[in-house]
Amino acid sequence: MWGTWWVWDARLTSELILLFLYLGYIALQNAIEDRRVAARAGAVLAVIGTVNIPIIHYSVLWWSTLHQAASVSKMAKPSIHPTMLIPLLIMIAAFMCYFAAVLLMRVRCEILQFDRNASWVRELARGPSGA
Amino acid sequence: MEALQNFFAMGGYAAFVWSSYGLACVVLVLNAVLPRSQEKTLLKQIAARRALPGEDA
Repeated sequence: MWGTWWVWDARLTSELILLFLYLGYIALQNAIEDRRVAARAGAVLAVIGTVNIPIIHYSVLWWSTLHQAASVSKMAKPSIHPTMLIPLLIMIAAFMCYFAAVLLMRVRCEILQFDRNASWVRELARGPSGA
Repeated sequence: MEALQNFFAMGGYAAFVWSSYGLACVVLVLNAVLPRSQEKTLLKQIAARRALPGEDA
């Protein structure tokens, strides 16, 4: 327990910037009428936003503020107790599987939307699954 | 019984802990349900559009 819900800690601040990047991405996507142009602009912003990822990762090393230094993702033995480490790793794996599943479902919708004039989409829509 | 109550009380932080669980559950369920319904509407729209006269496959 850190005894606070918000301070200008390096990790918290870089995560706040990540939140703003997400909001900016959503705003940019919705601001552009043409879906293809919007997707391209969003992709560029996402690539630029990736710069923030290593900053978040190393923020606890570069600036020693409230957040502790790396406790799991380091070469040496994790300094987190096994009773917390094992559930943490299981939950990370579970969330990654969930994310992959949801991502594939959303990509499927995107492909249907973009290829809506293709014959295989029309056949799919006409078939029993679309009725 | 008291042990159970102590567990749910979460050392006085019950409101934070259980609302986090609730919010996470809502987000997880929505993320699974929304693409499914979107796909269904999309397919329905595509099927309906195809039925319009003057448009051939």
